Amino acid sequence: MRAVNLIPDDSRRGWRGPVGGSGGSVYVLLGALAVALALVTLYVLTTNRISDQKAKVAGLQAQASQAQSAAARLAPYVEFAKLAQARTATVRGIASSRFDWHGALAGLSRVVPANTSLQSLVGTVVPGVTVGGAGGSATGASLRGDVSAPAFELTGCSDSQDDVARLVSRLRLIDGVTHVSLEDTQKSANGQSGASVSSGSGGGCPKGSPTFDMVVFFTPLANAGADGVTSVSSEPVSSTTTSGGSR
Amino acid sequence: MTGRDRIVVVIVVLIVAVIGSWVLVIGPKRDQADKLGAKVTAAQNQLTAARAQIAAAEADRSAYGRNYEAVAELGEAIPSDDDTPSLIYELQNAATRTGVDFLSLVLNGASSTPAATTSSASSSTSQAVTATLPPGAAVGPAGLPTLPFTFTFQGNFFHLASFLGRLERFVVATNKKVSVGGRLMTLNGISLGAAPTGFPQIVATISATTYLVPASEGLTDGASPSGPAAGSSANTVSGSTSSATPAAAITP
Repeated sequence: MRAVNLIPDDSRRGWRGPVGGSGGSVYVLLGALAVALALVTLYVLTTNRISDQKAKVAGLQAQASQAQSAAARLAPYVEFAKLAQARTATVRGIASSRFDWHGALAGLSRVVPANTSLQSLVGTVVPGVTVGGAGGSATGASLRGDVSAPAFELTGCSDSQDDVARLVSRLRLIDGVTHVSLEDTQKSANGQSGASVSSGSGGGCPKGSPTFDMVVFFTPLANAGADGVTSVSSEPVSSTTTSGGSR
Repeated sequence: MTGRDRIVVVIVVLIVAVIGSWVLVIGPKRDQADKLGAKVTAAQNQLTAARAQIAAAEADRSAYGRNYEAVAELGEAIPSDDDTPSLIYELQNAATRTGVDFLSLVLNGASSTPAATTSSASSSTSQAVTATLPPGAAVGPAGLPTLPFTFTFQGNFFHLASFLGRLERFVVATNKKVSVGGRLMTLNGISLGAAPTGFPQIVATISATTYLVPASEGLTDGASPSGPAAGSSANTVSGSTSSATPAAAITP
């Protein structure tokens, strides 16, 4: 007769669990399923992320395209603003780099002594500028070419050689004068004909008075090109206004 | 094969499957996602740049009236053609106000061979540009046309000095403002000599250069008070061909 064990399975000695003698295969299977689940989850998440980013890229590109179209429509305004800025900068560059003729002549009139007459005055912003007409030929041309700066070439006469020396000293007092070069001073026995340009005494050179040729050099202009035409590097200034001025 | 061996085999197979799926499926997907992330960043930057462009353009559009006014006023200083009548009027007006007699105006004519020593290509280009200029005008190396004049005036020394000051004040430039009241001109040289009538009357001969806007631009580059012309050549200010910045070197 066969014995029957009436003790419940889980109360028997040496019970090995519900898997019984499967040797842990169930755990392996469960682990494999867990790993597979993780991989599938990761795959799905990544796929979703890709889809989201694709949609985002498409949206952003559409917005950027619209914005670029709008910017393109407004481009003529931008171009015109650049034109206005550049032209203003050009005019400013030329206007602000010119030689102050009025100031120089006013300074000259203040320093020429009363007993000195100027027979001619030739002013040029750089050597080589030709000015026709009366007084156009300067005798100090050789000295003039030595310095590339605005200069007055003066010809005139004075009462004595001391007065010529005094004139040279006083010319140095003019604003912006860097150098005064005396080319010659000669006492003429016959005097020099011709009316004066700027004089305290007026008239031509009296007999026996010394005549002189000198060159007064001023501070060089920053942008003076050949023939005195201004060369300008224009830098637009954003907050520039232009207004009509009085003449 | 024992049960333990089977488990080991299964685990190895699982590991291989995991690595394989990572390398073959998930890895490429993640790479794709990363690349798309970079694309998103680039598209965002593109959008930001485009929006900044729009903001700047809107500012320029709102300032258009002011800019047009400025360019139109500068047209008095730098006209599109020689505009000799207005120049004579301005000179005569200044001479009258300072008590100076306006004797003569001579257009010195163009010594318009700025590209004489350059290649034939640039020479032909220069000739083409010069052909659109008024007679007597010459194009400088950077394309800004100039027109040389010689003026003769008679008056006393102080009146002539005052007259020269008035000529310079046709255009006055300060740091913030350019005031235009007449033609922009550079006085290259003056010659003072005795007048036929004698002292204190003297004759002043003035060598001056006036400037014109480049023929390719015209006065307002095709713009009207209502709006700018499409496809304007604004970036070729003064004849230089800068593509983006107007800060071009201008050498008349």
